[in-house]
Amino acid sequence: MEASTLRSLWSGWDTLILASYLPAVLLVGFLYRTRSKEGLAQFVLAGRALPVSILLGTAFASWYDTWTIMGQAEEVWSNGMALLFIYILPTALFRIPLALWVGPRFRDQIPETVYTLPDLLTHLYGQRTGSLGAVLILVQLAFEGVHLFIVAEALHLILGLPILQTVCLCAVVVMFYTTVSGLWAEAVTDLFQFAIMTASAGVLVYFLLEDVGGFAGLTAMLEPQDPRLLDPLGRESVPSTLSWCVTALALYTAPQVYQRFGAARRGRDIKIVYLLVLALGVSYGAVMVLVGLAARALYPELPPSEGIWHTIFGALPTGARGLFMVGLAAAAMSTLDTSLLWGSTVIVKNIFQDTFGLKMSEEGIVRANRYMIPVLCVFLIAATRLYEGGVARAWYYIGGFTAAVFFFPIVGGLFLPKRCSSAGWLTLAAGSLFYVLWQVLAAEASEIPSNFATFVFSFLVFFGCRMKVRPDGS
Amino acid sequence: MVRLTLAYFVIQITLLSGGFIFRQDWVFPLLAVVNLIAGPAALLIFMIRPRGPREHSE
Repeated sequence: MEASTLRSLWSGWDTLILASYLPAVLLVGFLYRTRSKEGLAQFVLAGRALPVSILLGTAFASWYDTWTIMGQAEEVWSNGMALLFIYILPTALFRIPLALWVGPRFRDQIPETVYTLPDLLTHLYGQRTGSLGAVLILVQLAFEGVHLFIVAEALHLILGLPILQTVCLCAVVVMFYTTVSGLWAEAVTDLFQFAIMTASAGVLVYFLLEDVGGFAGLTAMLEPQDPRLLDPLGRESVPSTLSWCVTALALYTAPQVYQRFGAARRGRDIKIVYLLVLALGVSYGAVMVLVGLAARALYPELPPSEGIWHTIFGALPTGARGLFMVGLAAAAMSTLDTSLLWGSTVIVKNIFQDTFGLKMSEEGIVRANRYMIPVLCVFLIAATRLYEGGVARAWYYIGGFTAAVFFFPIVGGLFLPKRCSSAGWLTLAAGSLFYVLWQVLAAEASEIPSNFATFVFSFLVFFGCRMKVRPDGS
Repeated sequence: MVRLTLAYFVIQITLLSGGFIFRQDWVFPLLAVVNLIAGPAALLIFMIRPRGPREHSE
């Protein structure tokens, strides 16, 4: 199927569905604008009063993003269904403690003055660690450009729209409703975006199975290409497999997760909501594994992203294609608005105010956040350039970095007795430096990925520091 | 409720892993219907269901 055929499959109905989505999102931002005027807790944490249903929608929509759709499918296209067993399932299993213990503890036992991840590090280890954490966690913003790129690339392939202009349009829509209404608008739009994402994936399964003839058809088409594509452990080396597992821990270190925890009404809600999100997320990931396998089976001669879009559009009927594109846009926007909100709060509150001592009232912080969001949008647009060569490993590197550096200070600080302030600071400083040095000097020669090497190094530094703590805590 | 959700999650990943390892086609429609269509639909219905009259405070 040529690119022109891909465009010919797109109908007026699909355009209508896609075009109705953007005004609907902007309307929600407009409707919820008054709530964001009631202070920082309303703007950043929705007044710590999100009901279970909205929390579920926003938790899912901010956890599962465009990389879950296209990045995972591209990785499966290249390395087969092993991704399910080395990343998707471990991710779900590793996140159970996050849902059952970390989230509820954060909501119920950490002071309400803690708004962001650097605030948490400051609470656990002191201002020095909080400030360093605020700077290092901004690295994750570079990943967020991937969402803009994926949507723009899809619209370019399907409709022929220019990539840069599409990136800018998406960024402006997200910027508008996040700037105007903060987390309330984000959470409510996320609920509907969640429903669109899951329904479009569910519909896709039926048509795709019919198209490829189930596992029997996939086996017949893939085994002549490479039998390891259907091997549960695939062709990843042991260090690479372990490195994917480290990346699976990245959500323990994701600022948006702690923002959602803080916005919940109580810890018990977090347990139920996040366990349900895990269950739904595994199914969602499995659908994308099926998409990647089907694309490899049907279009092995095309580049992965093109093959994936040909597979999806070839399988879906008119109208459902528009719905799937809306699902992709929803996945991008629900993650981007979250990133803009936590990124601006970290810069304004944790860097400008807490680190550089710029004094601001609560209203001043909210106002400064609103100015910072457009600046971050420009950064995200620039970050899309990083992904022109492919998006498959975007999360592997950036999520892997934050997991390797932040995991022990955060989880250890929350659960271990006797806090050691130098353990937090040293692990962040030495871990990030080690990651860069390993990536430049040793990763290729040793064939041990930087994520995994840094994770082990951080473990040693963190617990090494703790062993030096005196009984009086100094 | 938490234990029930946890049990549901464990059953689900067991079915999913088994379905992929033993290449069983039924695993996809099952998960698609239960998780990706019925679950979110139920949530939205729950959200927009008619509620009883509110008590008015004085």
